[in-house]
Amino acid sequence: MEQRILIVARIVILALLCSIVGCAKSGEYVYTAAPQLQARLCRVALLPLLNETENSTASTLCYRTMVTELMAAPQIQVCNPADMKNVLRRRQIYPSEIYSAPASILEGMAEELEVDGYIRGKVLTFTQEYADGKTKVPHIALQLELLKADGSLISQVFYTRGGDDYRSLMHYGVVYSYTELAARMTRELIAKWIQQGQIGCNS
Amino acid sequence: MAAVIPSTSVRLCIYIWVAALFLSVPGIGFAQESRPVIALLPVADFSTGSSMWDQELQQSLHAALLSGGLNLVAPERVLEEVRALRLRDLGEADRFSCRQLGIRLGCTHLLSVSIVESVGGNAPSLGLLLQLYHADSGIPVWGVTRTYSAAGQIALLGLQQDADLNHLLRQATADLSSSLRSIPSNVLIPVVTRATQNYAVEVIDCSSSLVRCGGSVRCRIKIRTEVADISAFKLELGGKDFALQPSAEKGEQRDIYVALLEAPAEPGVYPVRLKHATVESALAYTTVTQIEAVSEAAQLELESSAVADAAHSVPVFSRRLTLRPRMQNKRLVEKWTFEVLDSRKNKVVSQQSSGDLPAALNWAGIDARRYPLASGVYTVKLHIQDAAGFSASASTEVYLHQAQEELATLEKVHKEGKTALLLRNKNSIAESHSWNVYITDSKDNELYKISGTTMPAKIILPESIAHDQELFCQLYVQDSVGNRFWTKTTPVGQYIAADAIENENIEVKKQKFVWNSGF
Repeated sequence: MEQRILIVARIVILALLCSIVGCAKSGEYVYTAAPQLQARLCRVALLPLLNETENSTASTLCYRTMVTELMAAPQIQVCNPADMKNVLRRRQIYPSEIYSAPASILEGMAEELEVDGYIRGKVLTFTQEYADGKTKVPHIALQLELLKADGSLISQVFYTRGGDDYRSLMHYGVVYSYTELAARMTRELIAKWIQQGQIGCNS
Repeated sequence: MAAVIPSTSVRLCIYIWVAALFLSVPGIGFAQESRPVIALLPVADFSTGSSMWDQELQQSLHAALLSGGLNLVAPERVLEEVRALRLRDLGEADRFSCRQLGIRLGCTHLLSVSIVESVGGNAPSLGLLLQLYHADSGIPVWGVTRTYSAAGQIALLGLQQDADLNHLLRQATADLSSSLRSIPSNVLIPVVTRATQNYAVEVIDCSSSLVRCGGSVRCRIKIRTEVADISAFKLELGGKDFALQPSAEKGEQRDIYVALLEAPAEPGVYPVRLKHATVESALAYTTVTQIEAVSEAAQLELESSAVADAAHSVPVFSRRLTLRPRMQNKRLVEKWTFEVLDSRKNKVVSQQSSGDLPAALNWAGIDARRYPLASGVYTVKLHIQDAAGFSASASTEVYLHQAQEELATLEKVHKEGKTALLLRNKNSIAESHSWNVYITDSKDNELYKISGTTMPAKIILPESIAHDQELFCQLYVQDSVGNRFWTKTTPVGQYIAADAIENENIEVKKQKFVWNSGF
């Protein structure tokens, strides 16, 4: 009986704390360049991400997670990443040259891959920071561009998130895994692009 | 009562029947007319953490999928075919590999599972990615990200977090099997594609990307194909077809073919395309690489840093000459030679190199032994040979002015109690570009600075400079061709004191020194 009372008391205390502490952190993390005239992309290729962090696994983890999330999104079609890499290899375009690839090359690649455009990006930050002085949470910053098949820019976004941004109640909701953080960021970006009419297969 | 309760075996049969019925309901299970057959590819571990999870995960997933009622290809067969196809990256299969696996394994879909994050220690975490590909087209149709972290399983109301890594793996396996059950049934319907490519091609090398019009280029390419007859493939350049032959080089891998291409007669950039005659007699093209055909040598020019001077018929430089090669329609250079000839056409410098031209070439007015050459007219020459075998040359004449002599002098004059500095330009090559006179104390502290562009003959020193100690002055000159020159430091104050001793009396020396102005 005493144990039940204790549990109920804990629940009441938690509810009170929730109302005092508040919920998720709020803040603007997305800085988007003014999008150009609408060009809705249905089928896209995610180009290899440039790794500008000190962590050698950052681009692999982010790239693979982003591709998986693009596959998971029912409104978008993504080209086979191995096909895309084959085309880059055949055309002798190294990942470091993706940002300087001329329009004609990008157009040719788009035709071969049967895509309407590209997602191109860089991983800028991939670190762990203390959330509450004890626990480390991941932080990721991405710079992504939506490009038409000819390489012209549709929109650009700088997107940064920390595991602590998803805190809902006390320490609940905090994201402790890089993969989970990258996946959530991708889902948020896809939702944003769909909302802005820049991406999506449904007319 | 005992007759109503069925036996254990009968109950088991009822459970299986109910489960089968549940899985056959559209939208819940894989209720299709033809049930999909899935090949679970070997788990790929891209994480830097602990390994050995891939095999364990593979076995657990396979068991979980089977128990979920999915049609699975035997793992041994999948492994055998993956090895036979020599998949470059287990986590990613291109459309050709997907199709090949689909044909060989008789499956409709391929499931790729990769570990991208595995952290041990006190706060273990696991990141898994599942990707489902349509086997015939290689199109990705579904994906899911699953992560598990001990830190995320926070103690609540007495429940303790489980920090055991194996526990996470068990949890992942159980969770993934339910994730796979949630695959939308529509993604398992065969995908209609524009054309199914039954081959994959990549360039190994081409002898050159720049070739003379009508010249030949040898290209090696790798073709992985399910088509038995390689004669169905041709390389096309400029509207002509060229046959592919298996590479006869020793130690060459299989699937590598060689073609000797003939460049078109008209100059231009042409794509090299792999042409494939399909069963339906349609033609499929894949651009393999590009080749530039040229019919003449490149126009080469040399831009030099030497400057025009009225005193000389050719541009003048001193100390360093920078030459920038300019090529109209830049092309690949195979080798180049840089030469310097003196006025009697003797070669004083010669440098050869292979590969592309540098953006700039520098010459410091020295010969091959690094001795300074005498002032005079020199001819600098650049000769190139491009990858197509065409040669081009460019040359220019420059005047080398060795600036070892004095460019200017500084002299102090003292007349009728007034002091001035006389400046004399001794530079016969170029005009003064800028000049500075610095007046310093014995500790080299700058007290006064007078600057200008055209050097005057005389500077009247300002009256405002007053100093108890000895003063010094120095002239710095820079001419229009880049020569710089410092005069020796002249002890002005001491000199005045000496004048004072000679011309006037000893008391003047002890007086506070005051610069006079005006003559």
